[in-house]
Amino acid sequence: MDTTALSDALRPFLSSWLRSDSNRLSFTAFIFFAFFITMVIYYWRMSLGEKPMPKLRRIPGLDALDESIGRATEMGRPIVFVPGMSGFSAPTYAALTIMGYVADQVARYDTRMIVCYRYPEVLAVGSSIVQTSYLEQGKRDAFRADDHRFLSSDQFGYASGVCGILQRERAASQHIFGSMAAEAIILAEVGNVVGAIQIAGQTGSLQQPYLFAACDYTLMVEELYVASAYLSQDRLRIGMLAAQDISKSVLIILIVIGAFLMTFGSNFIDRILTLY
Amino acid sequence: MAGVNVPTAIVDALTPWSTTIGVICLIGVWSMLYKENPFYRACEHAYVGSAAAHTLVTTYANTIKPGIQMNMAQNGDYWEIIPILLGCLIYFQPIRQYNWISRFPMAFWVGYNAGYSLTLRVAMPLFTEARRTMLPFFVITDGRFDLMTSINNIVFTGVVVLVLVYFIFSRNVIQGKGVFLNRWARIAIMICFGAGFGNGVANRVSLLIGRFNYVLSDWLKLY
Repeated sequence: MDTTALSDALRPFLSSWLRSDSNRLSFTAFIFFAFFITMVIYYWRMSLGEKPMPKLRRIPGLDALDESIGRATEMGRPIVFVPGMSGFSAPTYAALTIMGYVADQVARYDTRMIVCYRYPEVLAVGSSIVQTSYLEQGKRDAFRADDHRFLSSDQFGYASGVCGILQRERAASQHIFGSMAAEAIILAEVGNVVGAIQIAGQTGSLQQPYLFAACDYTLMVEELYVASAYLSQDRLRIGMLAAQDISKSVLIILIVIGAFLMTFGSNFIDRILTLY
Repeated sequence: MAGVNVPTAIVDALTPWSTTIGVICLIGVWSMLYKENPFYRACEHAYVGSAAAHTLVTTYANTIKPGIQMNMAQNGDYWEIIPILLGCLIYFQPIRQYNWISRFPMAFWVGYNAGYSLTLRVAMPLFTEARRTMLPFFVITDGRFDLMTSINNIVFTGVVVLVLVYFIFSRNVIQGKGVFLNRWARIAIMICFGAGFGNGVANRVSLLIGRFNYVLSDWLKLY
């Protein structure tokens, strides 16, 4: 099938609003995006009703959060939480979501949690999240603002500061979530030296092997984004996740069909994906 | 950032001293390999403090000063006063009575980032990657069957599909045979991470050699 004619016919209508400064957006990308939004709306409506929502597969790293908090509580030693090395970005939001869950637990059990920040804006939001958890538990005065520490915006200055805190405070647990770079292994190794139970999750694939080697539990790449739905078991959030899964399944089917067609000399799917 | 012209003679005179301080700090940081100690602590605090000071100076010189001097005073972009004022609201954070005011810039910031992330633009890299994954399983090069490229393409496409299957979390989407695929996906991911680990270790050894070079060559002048 020749898609050139269709592409030429669509161009005048779409060129004015399917363009961005940085790259060209294909018509198929728009259709795919619309499909994704439709799935989101479908599952959103489903979550409002009584129908059972899809069940999520087990993620051991998130199950271990309670174990690590329990260990810190029993030992009377703090948890050190690292919410990533980037400012406001998707991994940082995911890390802050997990931090909210951990904060609920530490507020309930009167466990100390030290949070180390690289960016002041993340500190402002992070400390508010933890403060809210203490307020919800009716323990407003138990919140310690001193345990929310801005260390340095410099990558290794920050890493050095976290290592010092891990050593001096003899942390029982370390949680490393968010976007990480070369400092990931430094933090994980020092955590290992002080005998902390370590749970890590980050989105890049470069640092993942080191976290696997040095941490007790590791969330792999996208598992970090599942945390909010998994931990809260909130119907709406699970619905959003199911919408993503359906979209991913469509993409997998497209790739498999595309590869088979390429084998037989047809680039039909490739042309469909670049339809503009 | 505007540089400060220091006479070459002074730079030359200070260089051996700065190298010596660098080596002392290097030994201080490495001393933590034995255990946490006051020497390491001093080096750590000096590093964290100087890094914070450096950030402050570069932010002022590269962002605030040009924003006020160039953009506002010279170019007349007075609208930049809005983000500056919005940013100043963050300083209400430590004042318990008024710290709710600091949430306005935070809310704006978080909302802006969330909105920026959720645009149609995110679909394009996804499609580019998908297109690059659609490779023929049987490759003919110069009229002959190319075995190695064919195997390469099969492995590449297969691993991408397996890994995508692994990151499907809903049980109603992935079940039965999918669980079996998940196991293979994990093996594929682990092989990939193993290769990454080896590569990373080689990089770190290279950094270590750089530090030894600093001590033996720059400081001791052994070669």
